[in-house]
Amino acid sequence: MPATYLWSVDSAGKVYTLSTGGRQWEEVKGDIELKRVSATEQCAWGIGCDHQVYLYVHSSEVPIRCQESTYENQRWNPMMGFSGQHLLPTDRWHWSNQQGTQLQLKDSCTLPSPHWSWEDDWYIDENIRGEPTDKGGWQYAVDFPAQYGPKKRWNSCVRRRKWIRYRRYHATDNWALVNGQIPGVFEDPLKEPFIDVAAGGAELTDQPPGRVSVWTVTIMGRIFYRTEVHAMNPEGCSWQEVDNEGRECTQISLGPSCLLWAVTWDGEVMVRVGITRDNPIGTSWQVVTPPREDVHFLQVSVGVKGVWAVSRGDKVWFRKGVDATRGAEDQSSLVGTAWVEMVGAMALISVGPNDQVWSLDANDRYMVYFRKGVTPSELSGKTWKALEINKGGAASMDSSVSSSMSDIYSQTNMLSSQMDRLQVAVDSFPDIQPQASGPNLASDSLTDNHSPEKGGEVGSKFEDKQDSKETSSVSKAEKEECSRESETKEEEDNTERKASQESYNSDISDTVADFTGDYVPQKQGAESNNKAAQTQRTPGNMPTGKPENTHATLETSSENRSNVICGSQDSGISKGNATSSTESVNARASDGKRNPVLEKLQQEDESQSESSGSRRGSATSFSGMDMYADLYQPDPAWVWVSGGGCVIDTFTQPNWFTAAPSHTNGRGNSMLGPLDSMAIWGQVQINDAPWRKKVLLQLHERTTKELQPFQDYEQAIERTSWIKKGSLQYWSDTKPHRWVDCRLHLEQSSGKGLHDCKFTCYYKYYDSEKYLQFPLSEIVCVLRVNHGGNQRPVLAIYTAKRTAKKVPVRLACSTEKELEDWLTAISLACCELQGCQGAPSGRAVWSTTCRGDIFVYEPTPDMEITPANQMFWRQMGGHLNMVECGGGGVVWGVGFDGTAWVYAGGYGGGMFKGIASSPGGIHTQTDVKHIYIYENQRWNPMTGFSDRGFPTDRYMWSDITGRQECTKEGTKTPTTEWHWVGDWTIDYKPPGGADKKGWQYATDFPATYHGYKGWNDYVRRRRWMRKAKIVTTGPWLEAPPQHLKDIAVQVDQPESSTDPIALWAIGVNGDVLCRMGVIQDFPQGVSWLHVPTDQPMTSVSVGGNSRVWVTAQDGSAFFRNGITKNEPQGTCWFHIPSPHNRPLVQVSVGESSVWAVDKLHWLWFRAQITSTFPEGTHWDYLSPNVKKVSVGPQDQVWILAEDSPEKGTWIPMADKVMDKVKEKVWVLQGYVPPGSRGVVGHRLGVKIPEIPIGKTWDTQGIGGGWIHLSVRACTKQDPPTGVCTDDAAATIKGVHEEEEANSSVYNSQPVC
Amino acid sequence: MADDREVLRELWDGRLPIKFNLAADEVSSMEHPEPCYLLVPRQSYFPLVADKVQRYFLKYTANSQGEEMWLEYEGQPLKWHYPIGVLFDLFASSTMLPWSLVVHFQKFPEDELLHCPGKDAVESHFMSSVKEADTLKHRGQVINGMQKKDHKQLWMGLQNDKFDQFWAINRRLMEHGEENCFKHLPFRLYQPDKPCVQRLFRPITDEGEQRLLGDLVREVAPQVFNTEAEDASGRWKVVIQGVEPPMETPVQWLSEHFSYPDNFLHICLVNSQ
Repeated sequence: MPATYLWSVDSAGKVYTLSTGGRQWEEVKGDIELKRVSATEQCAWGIGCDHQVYLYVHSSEVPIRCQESTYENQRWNPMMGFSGQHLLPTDRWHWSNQQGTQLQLKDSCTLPSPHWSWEDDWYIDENIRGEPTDKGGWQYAVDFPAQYGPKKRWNSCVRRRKWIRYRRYHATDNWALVNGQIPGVFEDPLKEPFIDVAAGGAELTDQPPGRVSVWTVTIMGRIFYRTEVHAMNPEGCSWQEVDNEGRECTQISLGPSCLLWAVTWDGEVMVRVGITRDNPIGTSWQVVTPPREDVHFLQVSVGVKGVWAVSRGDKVWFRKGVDATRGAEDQSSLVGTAWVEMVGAMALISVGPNDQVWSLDANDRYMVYFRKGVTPSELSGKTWKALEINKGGAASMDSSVSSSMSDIYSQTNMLSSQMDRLQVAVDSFPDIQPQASGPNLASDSLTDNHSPEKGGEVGSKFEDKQDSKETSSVSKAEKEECSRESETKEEEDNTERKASQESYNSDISDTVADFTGDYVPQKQGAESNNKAAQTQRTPGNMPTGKPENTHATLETSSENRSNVICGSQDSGISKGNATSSTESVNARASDGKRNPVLEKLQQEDESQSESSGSRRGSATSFSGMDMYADLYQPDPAWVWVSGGGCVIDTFTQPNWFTAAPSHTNGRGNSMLGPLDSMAIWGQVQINDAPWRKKVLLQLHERTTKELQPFQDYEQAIERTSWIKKGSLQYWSDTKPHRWVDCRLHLEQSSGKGLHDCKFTCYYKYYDSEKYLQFPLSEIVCVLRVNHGGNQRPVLAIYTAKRTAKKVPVRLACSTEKELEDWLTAISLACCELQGCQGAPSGRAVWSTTCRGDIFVYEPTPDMEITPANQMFWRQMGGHLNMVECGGGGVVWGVGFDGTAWVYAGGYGGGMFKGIASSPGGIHTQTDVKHIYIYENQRWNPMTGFSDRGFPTDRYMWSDITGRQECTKEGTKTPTTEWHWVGDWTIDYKPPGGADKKGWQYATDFPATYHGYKGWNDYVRRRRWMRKAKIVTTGPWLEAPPQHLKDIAVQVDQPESSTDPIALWAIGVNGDVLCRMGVIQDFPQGVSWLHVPTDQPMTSVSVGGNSRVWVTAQDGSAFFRNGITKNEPQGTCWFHIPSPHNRPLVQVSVGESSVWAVDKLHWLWFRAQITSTFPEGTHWDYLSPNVKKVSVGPQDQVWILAEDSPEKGTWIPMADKVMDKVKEKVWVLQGYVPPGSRGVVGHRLGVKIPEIPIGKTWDTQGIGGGWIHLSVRACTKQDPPTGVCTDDAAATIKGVHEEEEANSSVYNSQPVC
Repeated sequence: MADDREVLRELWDGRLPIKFNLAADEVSSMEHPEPCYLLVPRQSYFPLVADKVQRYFLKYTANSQGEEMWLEYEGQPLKWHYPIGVLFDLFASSTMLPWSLVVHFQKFPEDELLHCPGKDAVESHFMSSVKEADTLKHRGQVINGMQKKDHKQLWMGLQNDKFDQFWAINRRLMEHGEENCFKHLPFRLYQPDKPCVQRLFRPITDEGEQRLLGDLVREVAPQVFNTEAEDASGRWKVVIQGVEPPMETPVQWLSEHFSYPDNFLHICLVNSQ
C-alpha cells in the first residue's frame, strides 16, 4: 500500500506532513502560511493566514489533463464546395459542440483558472472512436443530425471534424489559491473571510470516481459547498451557499462517507442529513443534544463510525452509535445515541479513515497524539500515544542520493532522540549506542561509497552532508555529556558546552564560507558568515540566554498571530492555541533553571533544533535560503492536525511506533544503490554482504574439491526416506463424486534416493480400500484452490497426466495450518527433486492465478520445447494480479488493487517460512480486493419483492451461482491472511447494469439480468461488496505509488548491465507511462514519464528494438513511433484500426512479431511487419478462445486459453471465415466469463521468418484459473553477445541500423 | 535465526572421501585387504559411519573379536567424539584426497582416546553438547522446553543424514530473542597438540555492535593473533567446516549457520606452513 500522509500546521503557519512510511515530519513547500488544513488522500484544502481557501494537490507523474473539444461544421454548395460560411439558417453553428446545440468557438474556450495551462495548440482528431476519418479529419453525412462516415459520397452534403486541445493542471505540489468568489461578496475577499474548510467524502458509495466534497465556513457563520470537485477538476467550480437554518457555524468536519457535522458559535453541534450520492449537499440540519447544559463544543471531527469532539475546558467527547454507512436508511444513525466523556485533555481532534484518531494535547502543543486500539469493534480506542517524531528538513530532497542518505541519517537521528527522551524519563544514563555508532556508520558508508577521504574538497554534496553529520554527531555527544552532568556540574558544563559549541560553529562557518564562495554570490556569503559569527557569540551566555531569545522570537510571532486572529474574530480555539503556546514557552523559560528535568528537555530540544537546523541549513544552502536565522529557535508548536488523508489499519502499522532498524548490527553493508530513492531499498541485505559471498564461494570450492571427484564412492550413511503422514479428505473424481476420508503418505528423502519418493493416498471406495500412488517426480504443480463444495481449505496436486486431463488430485485439510504444512512439504520436496531451488532465473516464465498466487516455470537452458503438461510450476510468495518479466531479468508485478511491485530477487515468502525462503529480499506485501455476495429476491403479488422465495429457489443470500449460501455475517475472508476492511456496501454498478438501488432484474433465477424492471421480471438480485486486505510476504518491493493496469518490459536482453531497459505501463485511468532509469541492477527505475495520448489505453507491450504497441479503449491499436535512445518515449502514435471492428484488448510484441487478443477472445496476428513498415499491413485471424497472449524474445507464442481451442487443427488465414461465419462462431463458442478457465498453452512450429504463426497448439498445460502469463524473458541461456541468432530479428536490426541515418522515411510520416 | 538455506544445505551435504586401510601389523589373512573407500558426512561422527568399515575388515583380522575399532591418521589417534569435519580440518586439511586413515582393532590407546561402547554413547555425547550449547545460547530454555521426541528427531536427523528432519527442530535452537543474538557463543577453538579452548564470549559488544570472527580469534587466541602484522602474514588459518570465513564475518551469523549439528562452532587454527 502506498504511503499516506498525516498533515499538521504549526504556529508559524508552516505545514508539515508525516508519511506512514516515514519517521519524521517533512515540511510542505510553498510560500503560503496556513492556519488550518483538511486533508484527503489525494489532496489537502487549507485556510491561509489571509483567510482565503487554498488547495494542495500531490504531484504525480500522471498529470491532471482535460480534453477540450469543438466541432467544425461545413455544408457543401455548388459554388464554393464545402464551406463554413454557407450553412443554412436551420443548421448548426460553424463551430459547435458535438450535438450542435451550442456555439463553441475555438477562441472562446478559456482556462478555468491560472492554475491550468494549455498543453498544445488545437489540432484535428483523425480517428473517432477507432474509426479512421478522411483526410483532414473530415467525416461526411447527408445532413447534420445523421450518421457520419469517413468517405465522401455523391450525396454528402455536410461534413464536420473534431478539434481537440488539452489543458493541464500545473499547480501541483503547491498551495494554489482557490478562485471563486462567494456569491454576493465580490471584490474584497476580506469582507467575509473563510475560517474553516473540510474536505472528504471520497468513500461515499459509488459516486463518480474521484469526487471530493468540500465544505467551508465563513466568519459570518455561513456554510458553502464547493461544486464539481473531482479528480479531473481539483479546484471545483464555485461556492454554493448551504442554508445554515439560522445557526451560525464556526467549524465543520466531513467524514469519508460524507458524514457532515458542524459546530455553531454558541457551542452547539449539528449534523447534516440527507446527503446521498445524488445529492451531496444534503437536505437539512439536525441539532445534536449536548451531554449537559454547560457543555459547549469547540470543535468536532468525524469519520465513518467515529465522531469525536472537544468542548470548552479541553474535554474530549466520543459520540456513540454513529454509522454513516447506514445513513441512507436510518437518519438516526447519522446522529448517534450518546456522548461519552473520554480521559485526557486535548485541544484538537482529527478523525481519519478507518476512524483512526489523532489529537493535539491541550498542555503540550508540541505533541501529536494517536489513539491506540481503535478497531471497528472498539471505536473509542484504548489510550493516547504520543508520536515522538522530529521535524525534518523538507528541503533536503534535492537529489535522490542525498535523500536516501538523509533518510538513514534521520532515522538514526530519530532513534537517538527517542533514546534521549527515554533517558530523561528514567533519569538513568546507560550507554546509548545508536548515538555513537549510528551516525558513524552512516558517514562510514558514505565514505566507502562516495568520498574516500573525509573532509576533502569542498563542493560535493556528499561531503557537505558528511560535514554536517559529523558536526551534529559531535553536538549530540556533547549534549549527552551535558545532560549527564548538568545537575551537579553546571559550571563545567557551561564551559564544556561553550567549547563544543564553538568548535561546532567554526566547523559550520567553514563549510559555509567555502560553500558560499563556490556557489552563492559573495555578498550572501558574507552575510551568512556574519550570521555564523553572531551565533558563535551567543553560546557565551548559554544556557540562560537561549530560552529568552527564543521566547522573544516566539512571542512576537504568536502575538502577530493572535492579532490576526482577534482581528478576524476567530473562535476561541485558535486564540487558545496561540496563548497556550506562548504560555508553554514562558513556562519553559522561567522554570528552566529550577526544574532539572525540564531543563534537560530544553537543552535537548535546543540541541535538536541545532542539529536539525544545521542539517536543514546545509541542505538548503544551495537555494540561498537564510540558514541560521532559526538556529536556536525551538520548533513552533502545533496548532492544527488533519488525519483525513492518513490511512492506518490494524494490520499494517506505520513506521512511527517501531524503532528504526538498527544500522549498527554489522550484518553486512547497507546496500545503497547509486540511484536509491526510497529508504526501504537501503535495507540491509545479508545475502549481498561480501563476506557471505566469499563464504559461499569457498563452500562451492569445498564441494568441488572434496566431493565431486569422488562421486562414485560409496556413501557411508545410506539415505533412507522418511514418511509424512496425515488424514485428509480426497475428492473422488469418479462416482460417487464426493469427499471421502483418506490417509496420505508423503515419502521424502534427499540425495540419490530422492527419485524413488512416492506420494500415496489411501481411501475407501464403497467399503473397499483403494489407493492412488505416483512418484513425486511426476508432480508438476501443487497449489491451493477454491472448492465451492467444501468449507475446508483445499489443495490440488497436478501430475503431467492429470494436467492434460485437467483433473488434479484434490485434497481437503481440516485447518489452514495443516494445508500450508502439506503444501510446503510437497512443494519443497518437488522443488528439490526437480532441482528448482533458490531464486528463479532471469529467464523464467511467470504466471498468476485468479487467487493471486504466483507461479514460475524454468525453461530448459537451450529452450528445448517441453510438452506443456510436463512443465513444473513452483510457487513464489506474494499476491499479484499480473507479473511481467523481460530483458535483463527485470520483473514487475501489479496487485489486484493496482499497486506496482518490483521483484526483489529472493524466493519464498508467504507460506514458505524459515529456511524455505531466501534470507534477504522478502518483504511484507499487501493487496486489496473486493468480495462479492448477492442478495436475491422474488416477487409475489402480496408483498411485491421480498426475501421469501420458492423452496426451489436459490438462497436469499448467495454467491454468484446461487448454489452456495453467503450471508453478510457468515461470509469469511478467503484465508486467514485476509482481513476485512470496512463493511458490506451495495455495488451500484455491477456488470450488466442496475437500477438506482442496485437491483438487477430477471424473469427467473438462472437467467441473464438487466438493470431495469420489465413486466415479466419476477426475481431480482443485487450485489454487495466488501473490501478485503491481505497481508503476506514475498520477494516483492513496492514500486513508487502509481496505480497500474498493465505493464510491459522489453523483450531484448540488454547488451550491458548499464543499458537502459524499456519499461512501459498503463495507469489505472488509461494513461501511458514510460519508466526511466531502469537498468538490470536497478529494476525499480527512477521516475515515470507521462506519454500523452488522446484516449485511455488498455494494454501495452514492448517488442524487439523498443517497438511499443498499445491497445486503446476503443479497441484500436497504436504503434509508437520515433523511439530512440535519446528519446525513449518516442514522438508520435500511429493509429492501427482494429480487425473487422472487433475491439482489441491486449497486445503482445515479440522480437519481430505482433499478436493481439480481442474482446471476444480471438487471437490475431499482425501480418507483413518489416523494418521499413514496422506497423504491418493487416490483422490475420488465427484462433478463438484465447484470453491472453504472451510473445517471447524468440517470437514464441504462449497463450492462456479460455476453453481448449480446436484440437491441433490449424485454421489458415481466416479472412473468409471472418465475413461469413463470424456471428456463428461467436454464438457457438459462447462467452465464457473471465477467470472461469485459463489454461496455459503454447504454439508449436513457430519458425522465424518462414512460419511466424506456427502450426499447432499445445494446450495441454496447467490450468484452471490462470489469469496471467509472461514468457517475455524466456530466451536461450547466455545468448551469444552481439550476434543475433534470430534471422528475422537480425534482418530487422541490420536494416534498422543502416537506415537510422536517413530514418526520416518512416519516422516522420504517420501511415494510416 | 538461521534462515540461509543455501549455506545450510551446502554445509549439510559436505562429504569427505576417505580411504580406510587396515593397519599392516594387524592383517591376519594371506594378502593385505584392499582399502575401503567411503564418502563420509563431515557433520557426522566416526562411530556412526564405521559400520561398513568394521564389517569389511573384520574378516581380515584374527583375534579382534570384541576389540574396539579405532582410527589413526599419521600416527595420530582420532577422537571419535569430534565431528569428522573437525578432525579433518585440524590434522589433514592440507593432505591429498582421499583422506587416508588407518584402521586398528588392537592396542587401543587408552591414554589418548575414550572408549566408545556404541551409538548410544555418541547420542548421549551429542545431546549433552547440544544442551551445553543451548545453555550458553538461551540459558538452556529452548532445549529444556522441547519434548523427548524432538530430541530424538534431532539425533535421528543427524544419524540418518536427513536435513529437513534435523533442521525442523534445530531451527528452534537457532532462534534468538529480542536482543537479536545469543547470550553467549557456543564455540570451541582447536589447535593441533593443544587442548581446545572454550570460553564465554558474547556475540555483540556492550554497545550492541556485532562482533566479528576476527574479534573472536584475537581475543581467544591472542598468542596466535596478537598483532595485526601476524594476522596478515597468513601463518595461521582459521578453518571452520573446511572453509576459511573472512575475518569480518559476524560471529552470530557464523554460529547460526556454521555450527556443527551439536550446535557448537568448531574453529580450527591450522598452521599453514
